[in-house]
Amino acid sequence: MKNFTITQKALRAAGKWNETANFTVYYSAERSIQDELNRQSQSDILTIAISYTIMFLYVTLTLGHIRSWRTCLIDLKISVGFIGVLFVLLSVMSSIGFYSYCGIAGTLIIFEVIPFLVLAVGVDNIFIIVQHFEKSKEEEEDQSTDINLATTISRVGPSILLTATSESIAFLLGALTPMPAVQIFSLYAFMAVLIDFLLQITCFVSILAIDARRQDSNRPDLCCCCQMNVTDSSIEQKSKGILQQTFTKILTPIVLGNSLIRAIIFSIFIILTCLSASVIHRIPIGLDQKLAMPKDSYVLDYFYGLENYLSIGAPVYFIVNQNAIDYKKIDDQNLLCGTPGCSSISLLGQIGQALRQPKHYYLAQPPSSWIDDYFDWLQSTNNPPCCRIHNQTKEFCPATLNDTSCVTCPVKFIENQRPSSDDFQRYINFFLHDNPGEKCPKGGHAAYKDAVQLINNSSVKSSYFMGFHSKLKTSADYIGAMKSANEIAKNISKTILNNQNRTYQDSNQLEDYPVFPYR
Amino acid sequence: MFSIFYVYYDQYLSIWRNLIINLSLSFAAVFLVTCILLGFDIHTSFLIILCIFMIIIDMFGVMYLWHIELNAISVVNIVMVKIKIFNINQ
Repeated sequence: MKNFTITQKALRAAGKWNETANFTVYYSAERSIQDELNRQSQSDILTIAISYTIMFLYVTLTLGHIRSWRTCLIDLKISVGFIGVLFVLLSVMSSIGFYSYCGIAGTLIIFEVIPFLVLAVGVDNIFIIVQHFEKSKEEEEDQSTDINLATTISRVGPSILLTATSESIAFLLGALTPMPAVQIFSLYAFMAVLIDFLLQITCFVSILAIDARRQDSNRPDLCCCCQMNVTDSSIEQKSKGILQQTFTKILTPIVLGNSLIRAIIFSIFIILTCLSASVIHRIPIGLDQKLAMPKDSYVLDYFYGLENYLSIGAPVYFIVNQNAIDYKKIDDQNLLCGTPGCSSISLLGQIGQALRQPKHYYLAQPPSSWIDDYFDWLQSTNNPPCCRIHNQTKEFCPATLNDTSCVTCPVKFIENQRPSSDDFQRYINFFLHDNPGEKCPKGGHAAYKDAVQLINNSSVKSSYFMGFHSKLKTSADYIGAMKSANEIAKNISKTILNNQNRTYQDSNQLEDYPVFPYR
Repeated sequence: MFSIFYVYYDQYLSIWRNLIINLSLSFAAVFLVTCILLGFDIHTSFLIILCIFMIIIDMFGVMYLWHIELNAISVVNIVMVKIKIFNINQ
């Protein structure tokens, strides 16, 4: 890389730009996706603000029931609409505040989605209350505003209560799911909907009463200090709206009038449902990460390069749990090792079998096995051998050290060229600190220093075997790879437990599994 | 010391189960609440539930047609839509 950059710089300095484009570097870091998502959501703020404004304008302008152009200023309900939307924001804020006090952190999706949700739910109720109120005012003009409002609330109250309760409870139950995103979302939405409902049946109704008094005394909206002179004769009796007419004259007779049409509509919907039900199991699972990235992101280039040019996937670790295996015993070593002579049901043997079906198990390379390399290292017959100790200090001598006082480790090999338990423990730390080199390529410092955890520099507590998945492109690949790794680890766990005369059972406790992938 | 992607993809192993549990819970809740608040009118409550159920199934059909993948976001949306439909149904 260094040479490349220097050459490129020289070429560029000489004006040979064409020769500089020899290869392209695609790059991505662990935090790239998060960074790009943050960048994306910051640019989303404008969109959110615009949609809020449009929704707000729509609510305030359509809420008023304008009777004629002369009275339009009086009939407008901008202030009521504004307060209705304000209540929605207030309830979302109180919900956020409540959960902040409880210590439940929200995510960005909550702050983006929940206001819309509560706005949609809350605006419904506002429309229902205002429209029913207008209607009851028309029907019984002789009654006072307060009585009218009371009748309205007694009529629509139950239905609003019904929706609000079931929504709140449904959201609250949603909090029982184990997916954190859904859980937190449900909790926040529950509180916001509940508070919005409470505000609507108390404060909003009083605001509506004040507004009705203003309208009765012919004062314009937003500027209630001045009074307008509007004679009652100028107010025309308004006819029903287009929407209402379509419903009463066209849709209702068609849908409800003829039993044949009803049957047809019913069958159409039943067929639709059956068709949809038949494809449910084919809905893909996963998230296309490319969709979430901004269009100009460098991560998109990285994904492109990953799909087209890479030939190996993410690393996979098979971790042997602590206390699962007594590494110094030959029988237990046989459950792990992978050299010729080891059993085919050992950890490496089973992974080796899985490697023969790369499409099914998504494995590309056999795991590097520290235990086999350790045995090779002990048995090495090079000159000098890998394992040497100083004859006086008993310290380790690396293969590169030229000292006559270094002697070959006095390893006592028992059956199958395995070291005795004492020797296994005595030299493992030397192996893990030996740098691999020309004379002794099996040294374990580079590859296995982190793979083996030692107690007192002698007995092995836990260890891992690292392999590689094959190339993973889509979400389905990733999920498949994960399932396969789980499956392999489960089989290995079963074998190990069988050999120790214990029975395998599924459990949530990590300690119950001798071998597990990742984590 | 772990494969980074496993952390993200762990949720997908149980996503269907979670979605089904979530939907059935909210169906039960909606049924109970409508039943109680409508004065134990089981017939009407059942019709409401049937209607919502059909809409949810239709929505899955649309998800398949439009190649919408099932993930945390769409699960949240499905639950939200379900509740919203209920709101409209009233």
